[in-house]
Amino acid sequence: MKTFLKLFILLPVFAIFISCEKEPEAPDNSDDITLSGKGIYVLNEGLFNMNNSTLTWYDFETEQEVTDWFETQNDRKLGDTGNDLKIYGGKVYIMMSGSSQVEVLNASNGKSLMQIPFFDGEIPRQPRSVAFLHNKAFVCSFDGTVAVIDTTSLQIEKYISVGRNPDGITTSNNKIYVANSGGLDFPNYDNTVSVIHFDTMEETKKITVGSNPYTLETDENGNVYVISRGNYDDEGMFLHIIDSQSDELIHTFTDFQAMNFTLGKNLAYVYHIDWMSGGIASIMAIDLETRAVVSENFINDDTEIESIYGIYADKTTGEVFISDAKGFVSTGMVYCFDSNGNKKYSFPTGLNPGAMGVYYTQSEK
Amino acid sequence: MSVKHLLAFFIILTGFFKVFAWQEPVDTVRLGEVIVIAGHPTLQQRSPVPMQQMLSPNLAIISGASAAEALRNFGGVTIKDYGGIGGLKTVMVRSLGANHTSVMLDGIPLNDAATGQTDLGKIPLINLESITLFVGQPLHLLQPARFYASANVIDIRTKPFSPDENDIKTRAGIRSGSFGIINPFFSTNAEVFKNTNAGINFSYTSAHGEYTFQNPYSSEQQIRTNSDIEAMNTSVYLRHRLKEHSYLQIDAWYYNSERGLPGAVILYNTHTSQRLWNEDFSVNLRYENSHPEKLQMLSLARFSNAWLHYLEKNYLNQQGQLSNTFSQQEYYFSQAFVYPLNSDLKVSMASDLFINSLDSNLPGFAEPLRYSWLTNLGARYERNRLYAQANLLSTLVNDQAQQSQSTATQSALSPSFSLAYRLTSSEPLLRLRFMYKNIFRMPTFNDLYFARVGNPDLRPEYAQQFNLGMMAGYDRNGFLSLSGSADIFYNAVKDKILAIPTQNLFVWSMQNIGKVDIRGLELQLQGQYNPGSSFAAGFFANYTLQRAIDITRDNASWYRHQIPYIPRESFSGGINFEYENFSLGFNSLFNGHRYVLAENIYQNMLPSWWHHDVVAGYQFRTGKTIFQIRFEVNNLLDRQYEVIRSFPMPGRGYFVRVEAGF
Repeated sequence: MKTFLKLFILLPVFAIFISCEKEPEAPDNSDDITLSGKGIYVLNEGLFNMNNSTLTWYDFETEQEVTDWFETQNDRKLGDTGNDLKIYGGKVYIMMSGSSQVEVLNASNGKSLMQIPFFDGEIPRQPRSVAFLHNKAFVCSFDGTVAVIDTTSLQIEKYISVGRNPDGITTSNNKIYVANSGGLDFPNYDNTVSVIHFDTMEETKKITVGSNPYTLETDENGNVYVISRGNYDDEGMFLHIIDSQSDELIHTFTDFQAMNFTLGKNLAYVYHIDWMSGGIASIMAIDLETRAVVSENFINDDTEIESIYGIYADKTTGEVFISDAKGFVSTGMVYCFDSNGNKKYSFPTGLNPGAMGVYYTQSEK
Repeated sequence: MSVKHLLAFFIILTGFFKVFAWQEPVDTVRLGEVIVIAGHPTLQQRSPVPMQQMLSPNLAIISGASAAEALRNFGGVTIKDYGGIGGLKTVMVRSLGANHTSVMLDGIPLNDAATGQTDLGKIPLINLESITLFVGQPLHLLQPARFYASANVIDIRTKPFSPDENDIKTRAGIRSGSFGIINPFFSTNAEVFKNTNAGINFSYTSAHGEYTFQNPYSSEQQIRTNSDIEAMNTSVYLRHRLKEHSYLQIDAWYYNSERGLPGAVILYNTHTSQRLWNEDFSVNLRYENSHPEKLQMLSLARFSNAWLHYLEKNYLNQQGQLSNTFSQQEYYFSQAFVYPLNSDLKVSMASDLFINSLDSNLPGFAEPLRYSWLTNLGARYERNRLYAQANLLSTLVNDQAQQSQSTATQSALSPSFSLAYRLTSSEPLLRLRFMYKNIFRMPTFNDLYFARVGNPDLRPEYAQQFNLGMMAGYDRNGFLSLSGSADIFYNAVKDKILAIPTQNLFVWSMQNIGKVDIRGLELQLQGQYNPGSSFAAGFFANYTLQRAIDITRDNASWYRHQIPYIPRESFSGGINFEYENFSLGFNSLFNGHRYVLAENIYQNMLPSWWHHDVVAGYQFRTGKTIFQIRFEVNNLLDRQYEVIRSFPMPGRGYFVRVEAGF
């Protein structure tokens, strides 16, 4: 019996081994926050079901970044799968697809002004992308609707039905253009862009483009650029141009494939990752007037982007911001290039940095 | 002192002990019939491969519904538990992925051909006779080649298939309590004709499965919904004894369930609408002749069918829902022989042929078909102090898929070797052991062919296992017995199959890209105190330290970081007391902090947790009938924790179990 009792005393010896290794502690951001009011917001998408979408603020004057800026300023987490971010009228609009919320922030300090739930009854609508026109925000959701939000009251005024799983939105010539991806009907994708007239707030036309249309942007002449991502199989990914006067597809760039793009002042920056050839992306610059490839490789120095995930051009300065998702499961990076493709600086972000938006307190676009 | 001197010293030392060698006290039991293993605890103390076992008395002090709750007490084991009664529970051993562990229920492999894993939640804890974990492979020689074909084997035996020490033929009872769980069970076996026995094992589980939890992201109190389950588990057998050591058996297993899948806890979005239906069926025919001095033989034929239906209501596609069905079949034949060359040396051969197919209603589904042919040659030498076993497994796998229109053939030779040597002749008995195994896992059907994600060019994922350990056993006439072991292990994984995003986060693809370096220490201690009076007590304690680091790319930010979901430290321990008709058990688990993604940063960390269970029982006998009543408190301190990120575990639960046996 004594031996046995001794052993019970010995048992805690096991416990000595336990917890040799301390848990890492939460990073403390509270001390080093400075606000110059000039910087860039980066939305880190995170990973599905992990509630780890974050918002990085990089301040142009202090040259410091804070991830997670949203949590620091609001004492709660942003949520799951941040899909799009745009800035309009001093407010940041964030599409939280997994959480099915639209988060509206005061752009000058990152504080939440309104968290708008996007549910149809109990069914999540999954907001994907946002565009603005005449003090209205237009949010397209995967449930096939475009919500009209008043940018002053931040109330949803109307839902407009469009095609299947809209995934991109832009405005031009008093109209709203929505890319109907049909992404959840794989392999039976949608291939249309819906046109909504601002005056009637109704869908007036569907323009046929390639399969699985995604990103949409408008240039300074009002032309609408859209990428169709194809079926990830035999159909390629192409960049198209829609004339917003006639609402017709007027051009398709057939000599290169395009996975994603953004529009700068007079240039389109287009990239494509050919996974089969090793996944290296080069960023092309295309002249918007001549539609000719000006540069096969925009990056002029030896900067290497491992997994390009987002691209954003500051039309005022001509700077181009490129986000790098690295291994898609780790801390990302954003690189800032001048208009000649030379790296100016870079900063680390959260997981899978995608959408970006530059903000200047006074003179914001 | 040079290595040469050390070696010489060792040889002299062992020779010295040999002179004074006593008769091996515990070596009389033959391992021919697998059922003997279950009743023979000392095998654990002399096994050349790391082995852990829980027999029904140990299982009786575990609180829980499924085999997973027992297995998580094993050293080196990490259970991936998605929480709740119906949540998926898979098992990883010594930092190797769940695909490297095969789970056998009454000798039948349960691994799913689509995912390569086994949901332990499908195996009710009730009516289990034993759970044994072997690193490498089980020790019995007379077994199908499939038992050699994975890095780890979990061998689970149910009661009616095994003889009962108290000669209880029939058991019936019910377990009920928190989360609306109602779990009636029944088992019986009887001699229906001369030399012919039949048995049935049945259990039914129903639960609403709802529980309150604290949202790990917002600290809000929420209720886990859509987590109901209804499941039925039935097995039957008919066994005819031909001669003293041979029998013919036909058995069948049927599992049927419907459950809600509550899904990940998503911030600001509580919607959940996923359902899952399962229907599994298998029928087995086996013949075994295990005469210890003659040629032994085992023949096995099996057919199994597994059907799965996944439904996501309110899915935002054209149909407004996602409804996928998968159906898989297996035809399996095995022939095994063991031949004793002399009293010390036995040789074995086993050859398995199996055909797996998978079909689905998914558009453009590949409908893969796989032919596998495994052959194992083995030898065991057992004399006095030495126990050595060597195996060579040959694998030939041929895959055919409609989609790729091509066939792919993989072949490999997998050697394994293990040795145990007893150092001492008297109590305490000390043994040294060493094990090496080179093994691989085939890419699963999902890895190869799942729409857009699958990659038909995948190669197998290789694992090398090394183990060096010391075992100690002490027994004082059954009055006090103690045993323990300390093992260090090294596993190297290459060509690890991982899903990585290719073009964007919608398009992931399986790739052979991972390399993992795993080093660990496993300490185990167990004891029984049995003074022969009305009092008895026992305890067990397991501690595991694992460093499993990703060494794939030295320029990655997670280079040499601990791989996801593997805690560096884990501990399990339990004590139980019996006094007359009363019994009391207390059981604790500790899991160190883990990371959910490759980078070991705070944002990816899941905190460590402790979990405690208490079980109290009372039993009495009236005539031939034994009645038992047991109370369980699960998660005694109502600890809120997650094993998998966004899948919170239930808090405290109370259960009562009544059972009659005669």
